Amino acid sequence: MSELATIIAGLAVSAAFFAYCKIVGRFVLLRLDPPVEAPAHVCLRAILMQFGAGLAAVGFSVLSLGALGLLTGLVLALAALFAPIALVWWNAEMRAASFWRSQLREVRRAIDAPVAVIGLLFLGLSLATVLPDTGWDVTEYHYAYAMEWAQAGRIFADPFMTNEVYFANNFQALYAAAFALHLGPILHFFVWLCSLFSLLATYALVRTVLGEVLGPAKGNAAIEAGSAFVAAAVPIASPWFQYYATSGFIDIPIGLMTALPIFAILAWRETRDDRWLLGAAIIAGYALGMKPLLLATLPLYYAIFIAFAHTLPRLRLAALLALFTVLASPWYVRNFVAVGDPVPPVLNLALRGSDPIYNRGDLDMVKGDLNKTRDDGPVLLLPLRLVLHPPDLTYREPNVCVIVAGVYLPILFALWLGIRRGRERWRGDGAVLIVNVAAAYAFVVWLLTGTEARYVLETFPLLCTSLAVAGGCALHRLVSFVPEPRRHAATVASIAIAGVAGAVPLHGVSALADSPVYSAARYVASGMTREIYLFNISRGYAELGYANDVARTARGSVLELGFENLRLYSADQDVAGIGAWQGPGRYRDIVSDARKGVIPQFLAAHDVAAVVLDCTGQTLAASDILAVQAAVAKAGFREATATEDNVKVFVRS
Amino acid sequence: MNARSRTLKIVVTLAAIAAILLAGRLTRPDFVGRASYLEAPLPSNIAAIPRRTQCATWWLDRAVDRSTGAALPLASATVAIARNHVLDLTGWAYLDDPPREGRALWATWGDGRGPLAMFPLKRIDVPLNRHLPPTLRSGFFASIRTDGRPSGSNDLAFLIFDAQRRSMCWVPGVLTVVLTDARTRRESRRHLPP
Repeated sequence: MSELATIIAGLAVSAAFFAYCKIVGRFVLLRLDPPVEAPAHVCLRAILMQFGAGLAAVGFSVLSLGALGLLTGLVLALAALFAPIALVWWNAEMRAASFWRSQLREVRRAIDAPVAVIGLLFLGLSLATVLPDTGWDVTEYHYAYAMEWAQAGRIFADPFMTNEVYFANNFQALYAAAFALHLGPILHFFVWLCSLFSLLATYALVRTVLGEVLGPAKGNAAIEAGSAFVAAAVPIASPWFQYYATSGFIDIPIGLMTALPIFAILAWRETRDDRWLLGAAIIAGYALGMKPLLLATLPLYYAIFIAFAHTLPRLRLAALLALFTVLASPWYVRNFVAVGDPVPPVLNLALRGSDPIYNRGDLDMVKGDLNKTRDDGPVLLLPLRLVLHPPDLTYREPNVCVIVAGVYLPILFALWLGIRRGRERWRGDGAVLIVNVAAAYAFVVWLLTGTEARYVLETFPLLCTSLAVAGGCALHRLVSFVPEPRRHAATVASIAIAGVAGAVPLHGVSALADSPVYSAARYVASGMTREIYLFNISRGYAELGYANDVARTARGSVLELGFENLRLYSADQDVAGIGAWQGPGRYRDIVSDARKGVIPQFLAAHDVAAVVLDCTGQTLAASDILAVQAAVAKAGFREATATEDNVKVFVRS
Repeated sequence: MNARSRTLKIVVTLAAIAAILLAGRLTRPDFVGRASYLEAPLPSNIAAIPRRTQCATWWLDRAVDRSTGAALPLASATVAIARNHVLDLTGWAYLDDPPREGRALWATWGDGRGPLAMFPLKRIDVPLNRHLPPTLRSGFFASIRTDGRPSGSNDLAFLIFDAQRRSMCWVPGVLTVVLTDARTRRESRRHLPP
């Protein structure tokens, strides 16, 4: 399939999937519809909830089929057909053409000018979905699990899969369903669609919160809409955001699913319609199954549910909490049943201090890797460092969006609002307080666990909302000093300046060359094959290919130090590859073996025929690389000529 | 909607769900005989999928003495696989083609909850054909009714992984199995000596 055809197919399937989730979600939420005559962003809010609940329902259905061993293309296709047919059969209203017209009308009503612009920008962004994935987590875990389950037709605990046994993988289960349905070529569109909805949620959230804070006075609508648009549009200009929105990384979908419950709570405060709480519980439950670390947000959700829904009858509140808990639990229950441990080794070590799988060294390695940026300088300056520091071995993510610089602000806002609420007994800031408390909580967890910039995306809609609301309030104050006739112009000009300032790349215009959209355009226009593209952009690609050839001939394995991100491409059905952060060929053990002089035994035990060594310093320190090089040479391996200076290849003589 | 038509709808809906589930049950993959991962519908931008052994070998360092490279028999016993016993062993093979003595065969052993599904490697049937019962030829291990003691098992080495206890043993040339008497369903854990 050509790239263009892939994109068109991806867009078509995305539209169909959205429609499917919307209808299913509406049903799950007991026919929650936007109010008639509601403004666009209120319609959008309802549609976002319908989509979120529908996505969660589809996800839980996939999980159930996976647990039953029925995760096959045939069953998924039949179930996908059966669900709408059953819905139509059971609901008389859905048999009328007017129902489908009203659904279409709802979508049209939700699209105002800013939403249309965001949608068009995302249409352009879809070009980047054709680029091959070389992200470590995507190639190492996400796709690997999903393919395994799609092949098996069921979700099971594979003890040979690093980490997977103990993880929570709701989104990977959806990937597995896509693989089973032969939708692999357009898999990136899952994330692309969630990214679009993530920014639309930001837009609607800002409008909801600012609407409550500023009130309906004249001129406030422009501030509200402008701030919301800037908050949603600025990330699209960032090559960093573009990359995560069009690849297999699941951080943005997590951000969407963790923001929607907060959004639902706000909507419930406004409407007192309990279906919003139902949606919050379902989506929050799904979100907690997307990543084990999100278990940390369990107390937050409980606290929010209890704090805001305590006016519900006790039985209903208990049912709500029970529903949330049950829906959040499947992966952890499965992990407990399958391997006797509900959480990953790293969490065991962090919580209990011991684990039968990981040792302290493994934990130190993981922590050191995830907190490189935090430990590189003053913690207070961490957000600025993430954004401003040029990419290197510590700051591995280039062109981080300027919004990330504000990750501490929700914490400050939450503290300030909390103090103000306590001292002045002011009750007019409920929505903004909820958003900031939720974001602040997530960022404290972020600070304590792993401070890679991309993890901020898991709270991105709330962060954008927090900053945009603060900006909107500040702008409201500022323009009040401007004489009335020029106030609107001042508002528009300020918002435009803020938008442009946020969108301009901090590292210069050359950063735009890093944009996945630009890269994809060049890739498509050049007509080059995927192999040539990967050869051009991926360090070690050619060397791994060569090492595999050698190992295949010699009937041995390849020791790969530092190339997990290429495993999907360098994989050879007949050649075993070892070398990873954990397991045999664990990087630090290899170094230790090299220094102890026992590398020959290791290489012999694993039948290693070729060694590929990353010499950039990203995997091993310079002194360690030298030690390994010397040990491998001493073990009788000769160095082959590599295509790059920072990659070494050794083959068994 | 009256009670009768509602009942009819419920019955038809349940029947449709049952039919879908049954269709899935009848057509679900068993892995046996599947050529390779490459049959999977991959993303257009991915050529192949990672070697299973990359993940599998994660466990190997627990079973190998790193200072000598020697295998550590962490657990062993002996067993003679009798006729009509069910060999409850799961895992997948990791062998070259043609087979060479001492190569590893990876497996998880049964813990009473049935086998875990694993994947055969592309050419696994060639070496296993010679030594193991037909069901094993594809490299997928499930509950297997054996006809007797497999011959030539000392060509192989098994890594037995106990998922429940998270321990394992690396026993070159020794097959550790859980045997269940097909008639009485009585279970015994034994090991096949080289």
